[in-house]
Amino acid sequence: MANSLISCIVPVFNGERYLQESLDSILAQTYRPIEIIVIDDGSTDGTRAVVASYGDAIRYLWQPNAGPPRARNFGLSAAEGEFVAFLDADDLWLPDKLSLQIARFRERPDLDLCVTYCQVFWVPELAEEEARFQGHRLSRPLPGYVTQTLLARRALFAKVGGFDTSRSVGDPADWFLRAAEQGVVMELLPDVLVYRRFHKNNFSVESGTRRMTPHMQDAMLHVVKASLDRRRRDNAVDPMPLVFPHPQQAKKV
Amino acid sequence: MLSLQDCFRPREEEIASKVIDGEAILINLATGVYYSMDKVGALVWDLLQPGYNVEEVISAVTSRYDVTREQAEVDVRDLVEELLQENLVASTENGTTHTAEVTTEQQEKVPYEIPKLNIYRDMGDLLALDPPVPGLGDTPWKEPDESSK
Repeated sequence: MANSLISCIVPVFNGERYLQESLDSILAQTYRPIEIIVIDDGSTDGTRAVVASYGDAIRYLWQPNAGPPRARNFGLSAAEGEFVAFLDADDLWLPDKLSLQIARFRERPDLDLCVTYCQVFWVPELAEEEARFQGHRLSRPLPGYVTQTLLARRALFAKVGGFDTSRSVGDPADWFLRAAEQGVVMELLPDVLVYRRFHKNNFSVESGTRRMTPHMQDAMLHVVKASLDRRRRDNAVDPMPLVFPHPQQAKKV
Repeated sequence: MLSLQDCFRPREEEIASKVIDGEAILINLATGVYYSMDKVGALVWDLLQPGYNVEEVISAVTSRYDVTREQAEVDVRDLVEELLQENLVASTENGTTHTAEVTTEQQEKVPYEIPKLNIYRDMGDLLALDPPVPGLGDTPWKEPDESSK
């Protein structure tokens, strides 16, 4: 049986600094066939040139700046793979990320999506911050309900819908909640297959403290409220409980 | 036993909260446990946040809802105890920042329901990760057991 095509979607806004490393981590995947689609969300830096240096290996699509959810949806609309995965322009996949995940789909035909553990890392300039976080929960592998870890059947997006473009942040959490509400079959791989880069300009956190901004907190509160409202439809007093995979001991690959 | 003059403010370093469409939504960002309170519970939360004391909260409840003072006091006390137990609020200095009196004058009182704190533990990993946990404050972070070593 031929391997299924995986579309790898990379939304990017002014990401020239780390984009090349991210794209290289996709090209280094041990799994084939893949297609890589970069959605340039109206960047004003050298993002386009970085992508162009890869020639035909990467598809480049541009949209006027409209935020990550719209960029991800644009990528989905252009994707041709049976499966889709996402990577942010500052994060990294380990080489076996797609192989290990696709193996789970072969094993379990009922599986709709697979996420993995992820691990943050600090850029060298933030060594002091990294030292402060030694032993903190944040510096350890964590279950990754984020788009960077996600491998899903593309058809799943027809069922769950795309990312909510009315949300400037928190749209991935909203998407995972909508998926869980629909009883989507999920698996959480214990392997640490995604590395998230902490740098000075991470969207939605205050650098130095890594605290959520008030704007991000507000967005998450609205995401949770919307989920509760959906789960209490038909006048149910108690919202339908959600089922997420049970976390396991993380495995560093 | 808590005093009627006590104030209990949200533990903002870990708790995100907001009253949305009349329902208080609270998230413990360190654990991913989330909470909801509607009607009376949402009113109580709305008043605790700016620093009204328990007595003022009870007065607001009795002036808005069709309930006796005795019943309201028991229920507000129970709710505050539960908020404390869940580590959502902490006792603060009395008579803090608010200046305006609680104004809840209205002609007709609303039917009363005992306030309830709903607790949900079904999305812990998701809410505690995306985005990363806060809780470090602006001072350099230390190991919890560092002082005991």
